[in-house]
Amino acid sequence: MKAVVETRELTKRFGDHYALAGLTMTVPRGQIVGFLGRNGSGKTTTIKILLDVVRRTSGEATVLGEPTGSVAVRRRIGFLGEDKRFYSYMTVREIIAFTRPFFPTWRVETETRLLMDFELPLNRKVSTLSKGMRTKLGLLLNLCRHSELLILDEPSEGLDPVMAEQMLQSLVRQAADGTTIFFSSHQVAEVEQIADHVIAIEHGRVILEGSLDDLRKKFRRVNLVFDDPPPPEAFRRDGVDRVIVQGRTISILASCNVDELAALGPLLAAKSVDVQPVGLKELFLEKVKADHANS
Amino acid sequence: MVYLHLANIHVLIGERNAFGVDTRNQKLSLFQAKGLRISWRPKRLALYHYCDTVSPMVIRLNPSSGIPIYLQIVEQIRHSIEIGALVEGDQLPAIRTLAEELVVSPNTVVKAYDDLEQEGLIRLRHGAGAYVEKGNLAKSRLRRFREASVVVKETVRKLRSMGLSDDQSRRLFEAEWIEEAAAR
Amino acid sequence: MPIRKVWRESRWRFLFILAALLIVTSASVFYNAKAESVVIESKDFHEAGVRTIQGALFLFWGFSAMFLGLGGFLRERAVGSVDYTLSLPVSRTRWFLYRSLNGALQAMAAALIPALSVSVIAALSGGDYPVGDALLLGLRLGLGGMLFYSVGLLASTLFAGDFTSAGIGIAVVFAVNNSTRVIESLKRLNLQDAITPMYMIDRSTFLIRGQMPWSGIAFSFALSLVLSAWAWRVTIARDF
Repeated sequence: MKAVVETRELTKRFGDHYALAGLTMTVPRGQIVGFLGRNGSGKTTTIKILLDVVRRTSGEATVLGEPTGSVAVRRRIGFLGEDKRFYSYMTVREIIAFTRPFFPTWRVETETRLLMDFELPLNRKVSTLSKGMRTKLGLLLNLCRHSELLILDEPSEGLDPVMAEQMLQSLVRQAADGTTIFFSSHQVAEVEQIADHVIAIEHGRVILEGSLDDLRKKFRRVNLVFDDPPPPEAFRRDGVDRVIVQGRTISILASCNVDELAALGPLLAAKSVDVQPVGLKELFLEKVKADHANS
Repeated sequence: MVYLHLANIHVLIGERNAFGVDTRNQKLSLFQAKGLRISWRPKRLALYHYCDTVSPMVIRLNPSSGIPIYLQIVEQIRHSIEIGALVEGDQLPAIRTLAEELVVSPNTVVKAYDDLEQEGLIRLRHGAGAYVEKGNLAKSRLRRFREASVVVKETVRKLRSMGLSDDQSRRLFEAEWIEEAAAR
Repeated sequence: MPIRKVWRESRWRFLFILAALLIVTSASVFYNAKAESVVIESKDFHEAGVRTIQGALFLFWGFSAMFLGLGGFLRERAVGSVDYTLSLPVSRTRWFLYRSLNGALQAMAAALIPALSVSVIAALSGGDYPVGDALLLGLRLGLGGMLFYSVGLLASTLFAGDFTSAGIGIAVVFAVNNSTRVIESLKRLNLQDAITPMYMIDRSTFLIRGQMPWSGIAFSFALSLVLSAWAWRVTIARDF
């Protein structure tokens, strides 16, 4: 099974508001996948549907090949939600002892190691822990399972830079063991740092998807400067997402035919031709603007 | 290899260590654990706790630049070899170790190591890590690199004499490289 | 273990209710016993016992049973742990079963133990109230009154907020109880009369003489199962 998560035309309606409007995506196995989107774009709703916390309105969703709602599948996955409150009345020791028996693949060596690394106080109640500590606890409760898939909703939410980096580091370590990591985030930087694959959504639909390296290799910003800029239509072709006119400069974001566009420069008497790589933030913002323009 | 700082012995001998973990049964397994370094850690947060920086080369990544991270790693390791920071026979960190240290996906390190192996700069030995490849390839690279820097020096001088600013020259070069890369 | 978690989350509430009911029961026993005569004779505890179990205990237990039905996923959503609970490999049905059975057993215990305490109090005070009678009356209350518990259970799945659920549950019970008392055609359905009828008590000895109102109890218990099933359906279908 190549995909650990698949959705097809997934829709979720709350009243007359569509949180998800036909979401189709595939999460490939063995990779770190960043689920990028603005606040309210549908990331948490999607994750909740995958975990059967929320029921879909229409469309399909499968996790590890089984339809969402399968109890057996939940034994093979890990989940860390945005709200990391857990059972506030339990101590750290108790909640670990509570969680352990559910997962046959639990490894006690990992538990020991992480307790030391994360410096979690066993006898403290969960309610007295800071958000950073609770995130670490949540990570421990998940990483010890050594599951096939780990789903995280905004894992770095509320973490200071040091803890955020520590958290990313544990995810990377888990990925090296073969776990597929699927994490949602509204921070482009952390997705760019550790993700192999990115799925970006806006208004409940996918606006950008692909391997990060492929996107980095494909997309370019071509800037052409003219004395008298030709109309933007001259540059429309396959792969051209947006053509912006800024004074004498025509700025084009293109996913292919880059050399064709660059060659257009001298053909149309451009004063200067400039081709730049494009980072994920720029790409994402462009796609969001394009999505708003189209809807 | 496991070593134990003296300061920590008293912590492990008692029934429970400072973090409440019952170490009576764990003591032996901790000692036996491969590669686990037990060291005394003060109250600060242990960031790269598992090991201090192990890699023998300096790698600074810029994930937002739009340049694939694995290419950045390849370039910087190649550069380390060329300037002699890494010499033949040096061991590079295991894929998972480097991934953890740089906090990037292990797949990225895999791609980087694969590329370097393709270029003949390193050799991956199954289960035994990666080693800087001995021989001519590295040396001839060093030579080529020296010759290339002479060419660059002359070109820069020439472009400056033509009245171009450094920024303009840089743009011309980048446009040229990117066009080449896209064509490939 | 999921069942230990369920017990742990309900433990203090149950013990508090049990303690409160024991206090109410003993107070009621003494009040009823002393009210009639200065010298407490054996017979007085019989009457006091019956009046306590049918009156004070019925009333207070009815409220408590409703509170014992509170909790569940809506409450977990309010405290922020519902995502974690539902992500575990335990089905919603299983969680619901654990919670509802745990609460039902607690409700039963909260009826039986105070009922039995009447015998204990009587014995300690030099009187007597038969354990068998106490047990039977307690059983009658618990089984027949499980309906109160299931009203609380259902309310907890429909409304977020403990006070809202409890409040609505109480209001519904009051409304039903009063309407079945007042409206002629519905008089047959009055719960209190159905499960705590006086006809089975001997008027002179205040001991159980006749048949237990099994049909009333069965009907009421069946109704509680229906409400519980409804609560289960709501739990299965809801988004959290």
